[in-house]
Amino acid sequence: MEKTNIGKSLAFGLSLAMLAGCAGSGGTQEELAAQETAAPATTDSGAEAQGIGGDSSIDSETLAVVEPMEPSATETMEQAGAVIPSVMTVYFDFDKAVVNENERQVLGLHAEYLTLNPAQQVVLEGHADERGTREYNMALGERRAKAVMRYLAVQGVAPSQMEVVSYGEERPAVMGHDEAAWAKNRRVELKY
Amino acid sequence: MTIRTLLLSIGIALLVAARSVHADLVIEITRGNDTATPIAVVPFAWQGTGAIPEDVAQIVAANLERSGLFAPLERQNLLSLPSQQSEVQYRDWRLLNMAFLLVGQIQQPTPNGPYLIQYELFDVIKQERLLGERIQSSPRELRSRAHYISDRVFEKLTGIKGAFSTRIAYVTADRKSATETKYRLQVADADGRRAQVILASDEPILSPAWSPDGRRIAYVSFEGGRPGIYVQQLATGQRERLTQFRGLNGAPAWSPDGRQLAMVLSRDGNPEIYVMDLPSKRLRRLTRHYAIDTEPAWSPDGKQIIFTSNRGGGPQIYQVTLATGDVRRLTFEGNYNARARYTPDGRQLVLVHRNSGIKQFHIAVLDLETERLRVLTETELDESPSIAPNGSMLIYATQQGTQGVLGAVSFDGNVKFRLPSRFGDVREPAWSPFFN
Repeated sequence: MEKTNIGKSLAFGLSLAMLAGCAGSGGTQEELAAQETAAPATTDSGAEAQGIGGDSSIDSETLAVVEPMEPSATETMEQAGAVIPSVMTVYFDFDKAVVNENERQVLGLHAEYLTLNPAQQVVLEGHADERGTREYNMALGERRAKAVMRYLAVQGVAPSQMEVVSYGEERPAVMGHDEAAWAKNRRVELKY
Repeated sequence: MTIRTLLLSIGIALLVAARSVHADLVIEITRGNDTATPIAVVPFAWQGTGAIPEDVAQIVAANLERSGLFAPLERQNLLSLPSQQSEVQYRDWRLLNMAFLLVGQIQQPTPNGPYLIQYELFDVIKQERLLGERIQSSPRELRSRAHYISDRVFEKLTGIKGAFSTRIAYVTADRKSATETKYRLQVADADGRRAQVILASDEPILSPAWSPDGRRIAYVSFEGGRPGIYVQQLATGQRERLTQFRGLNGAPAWSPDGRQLAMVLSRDGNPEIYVMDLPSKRLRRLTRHYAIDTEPAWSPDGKQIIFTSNRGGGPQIYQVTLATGDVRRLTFEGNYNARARYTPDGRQLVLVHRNSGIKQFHIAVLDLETERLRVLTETELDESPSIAPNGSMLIYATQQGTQGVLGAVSFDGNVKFRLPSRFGDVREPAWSPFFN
């Protein structure tokens, strides 16, 4: 299981590097300085703005348990806050941004993990189903992500560990035009 | 049918078939107007050598038909093929119950040189000529000239300024895999032809908005992973990022004088409407409410901004008067009203409306004076209505089976057609202003 832990170390490192970059560009921009970019008409903007592969310090204590991950062991470790909880999505009702009762347990596990790992950052990604208008759904997705952030903050997670972003209806988890698909798209994903 | 007509029809059909392979958006008329004015559009006589790149008369006929106000006679029913006034026998056209007749001829005096197009419009009942003009065109501009002729004919017969020379912007999403989608912001003629990509991205693009002079487009791009509002010059592709705040940066809307941009930002904790002065980049905040406030649009006189807000529980349309800051609610019918836009005369709004049912999001028209709401579309999951600058037609996004397509409907609801893309889903249409 050495490989898994190294893989996770790399994942943490990458996440930290990326989020450090994100926080830099999003949080400090208060001025309205225009950026003139002489870009060609067809701009390929697929490149992520942040560098990948930057080395950050990794809290190796979180991976102290170097044992095979058996199902029961995983559950115990989740409860102990030693690893990222396996369920990373919570769901919402139509046009609502309220954390449902049955989602609280999932969020509780994340709160526990985050409070035990204060260097860990998480991006709360809000989404909406396709119905209605796109910009309204952007705002709704943000509402949902902020509702999750508030819930986690109440559970003791530091706001500095959390960042909110909304993709509105742009990134459906399930394609389809029925309630089964829509229910799966009204969500917040916790991205480490 | 004479041999000549048959050959002409076949020749033109082949020509048109070859052309339509290059169209990105294809028009499918789903409902025609039974009360449309009958007009005969005779194929323009081609008096040059070799092939002519465009069937000008066909473009004009298609434009007139799409407006919902005209019913062009089908080519196989043409009794004769006049190309100028001296060849016109009004009796032929009265027999066919035509109200109007359009004929023309195209010459190319010098090989590879410009085309000379002559067209004439006749009133069949009164037996008189209404329009006659000779214009020049390069090969590349033939489609544009056909749209110009359509505008002139349309305006002469209806009194309404033609919108056939306008353009539409829209976003296509080509889903390559579960995790990979290619987004393209495109600009095409109002009939969906001559599409050009002005931005390609692996991240979502939203809310294209034309500046009032038609030279710039504002849009929201998620490149870099976070949304920002950009303004791009169409002629050069040069662009400027206007906003980069924490949270939402969305729904850009140009003021009628093109000097300000309304937008939604959540930098102060909550989605609110702001107005940015473009020369100075200074922001003015318009709404102060804990609810979602988004999707602003300016009135034609620049004095009011309408927006979507769920401060009353669910999304409804509100209006803020810029001089005073007073806000009032405009929609009271239905449980979801959003993304409203003014008609060019400022007297009505088009918006997304849901009354009941889980899928029944339609485009509706709200009369601001009578406060009556009228549903315009029969398609479902409709969004993003955009009105032609002459107010005659509107375009919007909808679903056809599993594909996102554009729909268009004349303002009286009589003509409806769809524009599916050959490259995935198409959405977020924005109709340009007049260029002339």
